[in-house]
This record gives sequence, structure tokens and C-alpha cells, in this order.
Amino acid sequence: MATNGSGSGGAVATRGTASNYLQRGPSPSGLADVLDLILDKGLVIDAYVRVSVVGIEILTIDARIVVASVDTYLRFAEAVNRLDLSETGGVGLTELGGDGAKKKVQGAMEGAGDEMKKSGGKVKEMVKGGRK
Amino acid sequence: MAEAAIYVYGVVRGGEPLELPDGVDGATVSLHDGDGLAVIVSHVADRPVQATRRNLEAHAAVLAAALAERDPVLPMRFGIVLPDAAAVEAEVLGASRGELESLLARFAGTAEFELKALYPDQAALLEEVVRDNPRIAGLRGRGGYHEQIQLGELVAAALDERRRSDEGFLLDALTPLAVDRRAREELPERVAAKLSFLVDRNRQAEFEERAEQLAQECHTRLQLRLDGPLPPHNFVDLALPAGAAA
Repeated sequence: MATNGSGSGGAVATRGTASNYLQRGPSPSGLADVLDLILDKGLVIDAYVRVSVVGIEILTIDARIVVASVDTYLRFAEAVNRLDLSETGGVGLTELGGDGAKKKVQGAMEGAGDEMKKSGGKVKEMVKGGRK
Repeated sequence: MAEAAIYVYGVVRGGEPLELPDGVDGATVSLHDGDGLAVIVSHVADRPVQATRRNLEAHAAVLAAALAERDPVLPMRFGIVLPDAAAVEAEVLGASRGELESLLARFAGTAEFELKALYPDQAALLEEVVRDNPRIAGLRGRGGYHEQIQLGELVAAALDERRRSDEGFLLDALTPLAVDRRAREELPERVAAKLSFLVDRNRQAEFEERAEQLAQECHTRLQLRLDGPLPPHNFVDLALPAGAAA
């Protein structure tokens, strides 16, 4: 176990450890993979294909194929925008500038009345800081 | 009768009966022997076959079980239904005999292995993309619609490039141990690569061992799953000639 470098020295020991990383099956288990394997592959006699796919649950999230489209791009952009990269220093601040945070701060400003005058400066600063 | 038609799973060389699990719609599976070839069949209702999970898995399981007992197995696509036993004789054993004989010879002593590589952590993958691409990092969080589209496009391109490089890494490592290979082009989001390898049985252990090593080498960025031995589903992509087709 201790010796398990990238080389192939002790075949038995290395194998025992390496196999923990490889998921192994006799045949694909997910429906999408089973479909992928047998629905349109293999020998075929075209005139005799008689399949009914009514109600089949093909489009699970996991099986969603990446298509080049505006929707896909916006989804990727959103996913990247949402990332919290705080450990890179400072980038995490932009999270505060998200719509949610802004609304919350605005709400606080509108509802606070006189209190606002005291703390207003602080809130504005937060908003500014968050947006940068 | 309702169960008048014949569902066809695949073709093997003729011989002793095989021990096979129940097939499509729970029917008993048997061999239709004919002069050196045998067609794996079961009775089925004379209507289109429902592509339910159960039926799809039954089709695959029958073929996998056949392969465990008799090599090679030529797999049929899911959902081939012939009207009766006479049609099995005419369309499969008759019209396609030559093709089948040569395919049996070609795939003797081989099996297919399916390798699927997943990205275990999509957030980590996107973080890498942002860190490695200053343009993406720069556009991140910018409000404009067009900037967001541009950002998405750049991310998609970066992910594509990443996929190509991961797929290349796997192909480079395993192709030397295989007879043939196929790579799927359209992939779900979490999937880095989906590869099929046709492997000589004499090198199967070596191939499996290499796959295990690979899984260990790249486990922080890719999660590998290997399935097989399977009949050569991805390598017998062939339309058989039909004689008196309906």
C-alpha cells in the first residue's frame, strides 16, 4: 500500500490499490448508458425495427447533451458568475454585489427611516464595495 | 396468437443450448439453430417493443450472458421483431449468412469494453477554467447580456478543449492495448469522455490493469468507470440485407 508510485513495479500491490479508483461493472448500469449501447448500435435489419419509445425517461439531467446555444452559454456564464473564488483574494466580494444582496440593502435603506440617516453612509459604502 | 412474433437478440455459432436469463417482456430465451449459426430469440407480442428500462436491460443482459458462455456474440440493436420462425430462417440465417459468418470470424476472441470518464466536481472544473483564462475571469460578473453570452461561449470552448485533452490522454494510454476503438462525440455535461475499446481476450488482463492504473493516476480530475467484457455493440454497426421485407 505504501509503495504505489506511478511506475508499475509491484504489480500485485499497485493493482490492489489502483482498483479502488476504478469503478468496475460487467455492463453499464445507468439507463442513458444502456440506451447508448443498444438502442442504435449493433446489427440491424431495418425493415424489422419495431420499437416504441413512448414514455421513456431518456432526458434525465445527467444525460443532458451539451448543445451550442445561447441558453447553454447563459447557463455556463451564470455558473461561472456564481463561483465563490474567495481564496484567490477579493474576488469573493463580487458575491455581495449580486441581486439578492443589493435588494436586501435597498430594502434596509427604504424601511429604516430616520435610522437610515445614521447608518446610511455605512450601507452605501457596503453597496459600493460590493459592486466593484 | 398474441405471442406469435419473434424478438431477436443476436447471433452466435451453433452448438449446445446456452443458459440465458429471461428476455424482453420476461419471455424465455432460446436458440434458433440453423446450420452452424444460432440466433438468440424469444417469443414476443406482435407489436412494437416497449423501450422500458426493464426491456432494455433484459436485452443487454441476455447478450452479456451469452458472451460469458460462447464467444463471439454478434449483438442486434434493441427492438428487432420478426413475424415468425420462417422469417428468422429467411432473413437472418438465409439472407445474411455470409455477412454473419465473416463477422463471427472477425470478432472471435475479442470483447468490447466501455470506458466512461466523469468530472467528479463540476464547480472545481469551472474554477480551474476561470483561473486558467484571464478573459473569462475578466468577464465574470459583468452585467451586459452580450458580455454574458461571450463569457458563456468562452467557458464552453474552454470545457471543450479540456474534454479533448482528457479524451486524448485516455485514448493515448489505452489504444495501444486495443484492437479498435470508438469515441462518442456528443456527451452529457458531466462526462469527459465515453470510449469503446475492442480488446483481444489475450490482452484483456493487461488492458484492465492499465485502466486501473489510469484511474488512480487521474482520480483527482477524472472518475473512471469500466464496463465489460461486452459483445461488440459499437463495432458491428451494420445493416443486414433483408430479403422479403414487409
